[in-house]
Amino acid sequence: MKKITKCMLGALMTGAMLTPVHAEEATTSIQYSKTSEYTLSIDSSVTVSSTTETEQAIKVSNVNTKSNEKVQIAIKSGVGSNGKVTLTRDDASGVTTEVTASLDKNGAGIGANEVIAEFEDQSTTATKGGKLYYSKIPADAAAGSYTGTIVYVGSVVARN
Amino acid sequence: MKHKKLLLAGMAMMLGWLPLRVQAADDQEGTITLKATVPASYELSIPITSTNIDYDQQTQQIGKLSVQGNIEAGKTITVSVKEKKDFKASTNPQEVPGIPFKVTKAGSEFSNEVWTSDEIKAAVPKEITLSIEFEADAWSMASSGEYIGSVVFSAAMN
Repeated sequence: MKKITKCMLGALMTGAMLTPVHAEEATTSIQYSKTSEYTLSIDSSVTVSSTTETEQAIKVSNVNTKSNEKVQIAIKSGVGSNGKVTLTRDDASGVTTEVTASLDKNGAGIGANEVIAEFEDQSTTATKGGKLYYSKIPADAAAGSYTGTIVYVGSVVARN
Repeated sequence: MKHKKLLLAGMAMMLGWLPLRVQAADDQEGTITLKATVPASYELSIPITSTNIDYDQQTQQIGKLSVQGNIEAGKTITVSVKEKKDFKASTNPQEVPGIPFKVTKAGSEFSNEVWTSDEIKAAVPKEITLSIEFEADAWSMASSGEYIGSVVFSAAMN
């Protein structure tokens, strides 16, 4: 009886030792996607001078774009042909005057939907534009206080 | 932390710029308000500063008064005679009595004249002609000599 038991255990052990072992590999893919983002830092109000040209910075902070994207800020409305921006006298008299908006000091007027600044990667230094210049109020403008409005739009677009 | 962010956003708004944190695909609009003030300015043209008066003339034109410039709509410029000094002998003004006179406009004593913003900016300026007028016997009672008088005008924007 003992011999039979030993023989069976031996057969089992042998069988176990002869069972084939398969090596397996598995891959875990880790993905991370961060969308481009930025924070606009643009003065909401600018006082235009009647004696000198006025400069306004078009800035962003916390900018972080994908390598194939950029932040683009463009004029949406408020700028007419040759960069003219109309300012209306506050007394409801209908009297208006104009200043010229340009990307360069004493430069030519911008277009009605001109791109005024572009930023890439994590740099807050504009790769294009980044400043707006407003010409002084014309000498023949009627005395008084004037207000005008420019609407701009910031967006993330594909790089060229 | 949340309160700190709100506080920072509030401070940014107070400082005049608009922090807009934007995720991709979210176009974000903003507005720039341009403000300008054109200061008022004007020039007062007064009658000639030196003119010889004929000794026997009771009335003598001294010239035109006008205001030109650029003032806000609704504002006015008022010009008035601030001071006039009677004609007195230049050699011994203390001893010889002065010759009184008045400034007149169209025969009436001139006190002040008002120019509106439109009149001031008009291509053809509004002018008024002023004269000085002496009493009828003023010259006959005056001692011989050279006399000097003056008129000081003042202008104020209202």
